[in-house]
Amino acid sequence: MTKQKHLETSLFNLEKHRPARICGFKTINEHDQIRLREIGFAEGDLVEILHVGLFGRSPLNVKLHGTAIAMRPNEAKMIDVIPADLHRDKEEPVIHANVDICDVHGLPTSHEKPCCGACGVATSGAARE
Amino acid sequence: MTTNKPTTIALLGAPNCGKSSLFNALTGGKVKIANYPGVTVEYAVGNFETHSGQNIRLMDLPGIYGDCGHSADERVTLDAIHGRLEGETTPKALIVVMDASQIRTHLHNVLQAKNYGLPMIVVLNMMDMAARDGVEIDLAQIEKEIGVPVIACVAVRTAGRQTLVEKLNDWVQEIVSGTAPTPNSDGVDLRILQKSARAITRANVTSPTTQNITTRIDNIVLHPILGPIVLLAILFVMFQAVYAWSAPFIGMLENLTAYTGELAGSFLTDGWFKSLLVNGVIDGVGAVLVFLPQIIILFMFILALESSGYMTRAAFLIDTLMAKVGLNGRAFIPLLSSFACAIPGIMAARSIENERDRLTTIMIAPLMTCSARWPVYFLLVGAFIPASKVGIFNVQGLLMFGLVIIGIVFAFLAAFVLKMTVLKGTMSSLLLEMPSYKIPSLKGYLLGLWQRAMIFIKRAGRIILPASMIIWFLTTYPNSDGVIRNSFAGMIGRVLEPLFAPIGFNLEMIIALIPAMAAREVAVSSLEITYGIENAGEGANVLQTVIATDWTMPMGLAFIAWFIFAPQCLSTLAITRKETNSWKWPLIMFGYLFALAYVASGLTFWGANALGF
Repeated sequence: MTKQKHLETSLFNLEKHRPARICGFKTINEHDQIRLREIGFAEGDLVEILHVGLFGRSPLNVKLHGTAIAMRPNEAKMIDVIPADLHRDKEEPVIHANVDICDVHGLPTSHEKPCCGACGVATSGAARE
Repeated sequence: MTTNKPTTIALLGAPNCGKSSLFNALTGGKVKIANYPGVTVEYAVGNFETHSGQNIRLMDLPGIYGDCGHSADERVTLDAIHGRLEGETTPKALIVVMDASQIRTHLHNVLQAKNYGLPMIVVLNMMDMAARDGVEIDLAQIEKEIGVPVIACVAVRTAGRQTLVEKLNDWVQEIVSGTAPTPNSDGVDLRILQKSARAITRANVTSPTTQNITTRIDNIVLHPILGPIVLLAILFVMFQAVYAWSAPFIGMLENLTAYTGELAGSFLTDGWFKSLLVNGVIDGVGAVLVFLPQIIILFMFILALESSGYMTRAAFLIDTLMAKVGLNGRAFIPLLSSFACAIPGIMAARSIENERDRLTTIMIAPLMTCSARWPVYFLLVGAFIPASKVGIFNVQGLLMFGLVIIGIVFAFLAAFVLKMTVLKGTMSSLLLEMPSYKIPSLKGYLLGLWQRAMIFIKRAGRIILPASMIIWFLTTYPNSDGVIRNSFAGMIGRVLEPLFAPIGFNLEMIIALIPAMAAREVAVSSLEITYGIENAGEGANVLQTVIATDWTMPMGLAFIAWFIFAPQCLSTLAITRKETNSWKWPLIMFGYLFALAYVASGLTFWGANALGF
């Protein structure tokens, strides 16, 4: 768990142009999380900060796949990410049906072991709920 | 075959997915904006016929991401689909539109739409754009995996719509006969839907990792320093162009008005009817229509910025400022619409889900320089400011730009005060998708321009025509000696004179303000009629000469200052009443705008006098 803390950061604190994968949401209420999910954010998604405003990193232009989404710091702080270069598995993983997938690394996982175990990082998302 | 009962089909999709261009392409732009009593709903409805003669009634609903309905306009969409809209037919089927280059982010919305239990097809729009960005899509496989027909489409091109039109033909027959299949639900858990959507796209969509054109343009226009410079430059060119390009067309319209007046006059014998027609109707309406070229040039820019995708970038750049005064970033779009007219702007504020943010936006929307104020500004600026140049800049254009900026500054100040007092609230949000850049289709662009010009012209008919007749009556009777002071209008004006005299308004100005309650630009017609400008030979130019000699410079400037705030628009107050469902907000709006207008005019008048203008 200590290792996870070390790797995990909020999207707001992510450096510009450093791709990262979403590993969970730190929302105060369910409503905020639904809004973020409906516009397209999900665990395992690759995000990258492309542009930031002049003052206090506000607003931020976040690339989510091919889409650019403008958001404010308070919204970016709700999204937890792990920089993609810290992943052992940097390629987009192949998903097999009927297998639960680790949100961070996209690798097969089980309920006993909350993460795929590929790198020893505990998963967030489902495990956190 | 047109006699058959139309089948209602709804268009569903995220904002900016090209729903409306598909709608316009299918229906030919013959749009009816629906507005039903009770709930103030605005969406477009249009009819078209398939090859086999089936009549389709297509609904273009507000863009929506999921099925939660966070904001008022999203709830309209959901209500329409679920058949909860009063007086509206429940759609028999759904066409779910998706931007082909955004499959990865939006496919789960399609899976959610399967829960509505209606027959549906998915249209992957803007396939050409996706191809430009190097996105490859296995259509057949996606169709198989989501279990709903998927059709590739380029809505804006006839050839690009062919497959869709053919498919619709068969599909509508299935819907009518009740054999169209309804999709199987994948459940309602958003997390699970996202997961399966991601699995489908991972397997069937490849997109390049290189920077696409949109990102490369954004690197310049969203640059913290270059970005604002580009934005200011665009706005500046816009205001210069409004002046520079419109002059020849204005001359033409002026001659046309004069000619029509002369022509009508030559057929009629002198009397009240001739006076009403020539001095009331033709001069009154003509005085406003003369500004059509400038309005069209303004819309040309706004429309180009909107349809190219730049508008959301402007929202991004301005958001820093919006955040400072506690405004929601989404307020930018409603506020921008308010430059055309505060009414659509106030209604567009429905997209803001936070109630306090929505109210703040509504309250400051009238401070944006609406198109109805332009004729008044054009008249006054033309009368009192010399048409000289400073370097390459037109001085009149510079001042107009300044007037717009003053309006914006006061809007921000008002928002700040509101947010500190009556509308104190939590941290507001932005969360706005910025669409890929595109070159708008010429046809769609011209259609949009035409629709907006028609709104202005229809206003001239609906509001300015009757207003002109009333002003004519009030200024002509009970006496016909031509002395304004003795007419009905003069009597009303004299009652108000003690209130407005301290800020430098003369009787004609006060009289002009009253009918301007119907629409601000009526102030121009009103002055035209009040000054009894016979046979408006050179239209506004004559009026400009008259007021330039009759008013002092401080008076003219004070009147300009009044119109920055112009609290008297009844339609704005009425829509505010409707949208806030209370009398409190329109009253506060009128009160604070009136106070600002009064103080600003007073300060301008006394200041200009003291400076010896």
